[in-house]
Amino acid sequence: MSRFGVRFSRACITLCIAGFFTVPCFGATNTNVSWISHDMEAYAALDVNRMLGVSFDTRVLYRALLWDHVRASAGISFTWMSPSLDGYFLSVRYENILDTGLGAGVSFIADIFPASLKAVHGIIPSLSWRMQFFFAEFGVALRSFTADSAAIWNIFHYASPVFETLFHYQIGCTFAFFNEFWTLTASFGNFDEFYIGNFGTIMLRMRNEFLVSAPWRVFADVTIRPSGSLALAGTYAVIFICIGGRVTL
Amino acid sequence: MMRAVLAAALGAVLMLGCSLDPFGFLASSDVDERFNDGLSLPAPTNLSLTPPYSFVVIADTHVHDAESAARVASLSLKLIAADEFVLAAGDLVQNGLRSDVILFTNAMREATAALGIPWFAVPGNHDLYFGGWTNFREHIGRSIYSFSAGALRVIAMDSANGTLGKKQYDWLSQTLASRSEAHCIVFTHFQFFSPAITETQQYTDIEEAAYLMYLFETRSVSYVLSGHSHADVHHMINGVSYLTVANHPASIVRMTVTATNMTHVVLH
Repeated sequence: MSRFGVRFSRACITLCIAGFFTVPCFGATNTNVSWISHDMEAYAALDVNRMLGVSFDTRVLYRALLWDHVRASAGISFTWMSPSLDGYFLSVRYENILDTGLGAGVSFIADIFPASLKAVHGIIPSLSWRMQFFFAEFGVALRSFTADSAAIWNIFHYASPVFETLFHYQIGCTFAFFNEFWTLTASFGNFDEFYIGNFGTIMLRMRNEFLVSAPWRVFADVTIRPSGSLALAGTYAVIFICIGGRVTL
Repeated sequence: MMRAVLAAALGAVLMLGCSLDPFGFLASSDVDERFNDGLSLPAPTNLSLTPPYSFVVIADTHVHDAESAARVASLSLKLIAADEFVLAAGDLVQNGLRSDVILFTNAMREATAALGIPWFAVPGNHDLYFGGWTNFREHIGRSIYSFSAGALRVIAMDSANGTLGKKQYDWLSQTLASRSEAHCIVFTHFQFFSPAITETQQYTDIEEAAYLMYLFETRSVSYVLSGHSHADVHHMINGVSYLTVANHPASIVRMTVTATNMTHVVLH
């Protein structure tokens, strides 16, 4: 990787992280204006992998809804096992087109494996449909496998020896109980905010979220990623447990 | 309501009548179970070979009847005198059935009989369907093993569940660390990367794959040979060749081993 490339990637990461923390500060002083609504969540994650063992991550996500239609979000993940940054993402979507619940957008995901000096970077254009109890997202994940240790941190690095095109999908439902005190979300798909799975990865995810005291919520997530896929043994490969909180800014 | 019950009953009768067993696809064994089972089975003996020599890799034979078994036996027509052994990278049979495993093993014996060379195999996902591990273990043997072939260490890695599991990973790390041969190859069923948007199964977790690739790089593995996708795909990453072999008989790969290097050629 050239010197310029290294500098460019460092600049991108610095900008992403700086933007990540400054935008909510800016927005937080404008909570009364109608053009923006946003929230921030942070959680501790326990990642139990059959082959690699247990790891602990801390993740922070920021989401903003601008003018009721433009959803911008970003997040970073830090692993305590290396310890190091092990992922970040940026996403922009236009939601609820003509009040149909349909949306379109693009996400950039960097899933970094610092201990093995590898990463996957993905550009994911997708279409979504979100109704009151139901949501779905379909798209194409353009996943680049990066084995160049100098380039693994750069979310925009795609000059790699392996470039895969993967079907990207998620279907789920959300139910609210007790006057929205408890929200239950269940989904299956092949991705999350920090992860770009194979087409055959059937990731089952369940989130229980509780409105403790507005604007504070706490939640617990459980995700199971079985090994193989349909028509293979259901022996799990990864169990992912998250506990955290979310605040509406 | 009554129509739904009748439709369900009719469906069940039809499935039973056709000997369809949808749960059979989910009844495969676990990789840790196979690792433990393998410890009680005989390990392959080392081969006394002197480079240069060659060997052949095939994959995805999917034997399920006499005709498909005959295609495996026809491999004998492609073998040459320099070939010293054959590797079969999983999905040997279609549904893990005992009768099909016997057809496969007989066909492999027939294919290699003229040269009198041994053959080795690893299981694929199809070999595990319908409790197929029992048949693989009885008629083929271990799913995880390694042997020396002159200047080459051959490692059979069982990825038929899409993950290695902790026991096999530790064994693999130890085997790679302790080898003394000049060259090393790993052969397995699942490939690490998807060649097509509709590829439903491959090595499941990309982080696991990344760790394995790091291990292969640091331990100077020359080739990782796989099957499954029925396509010939070759990636060279940090000095390691990841070669996916298309289904037999569409392709076979001949590997040549010399004292100083290894090369491959894909034959159609």
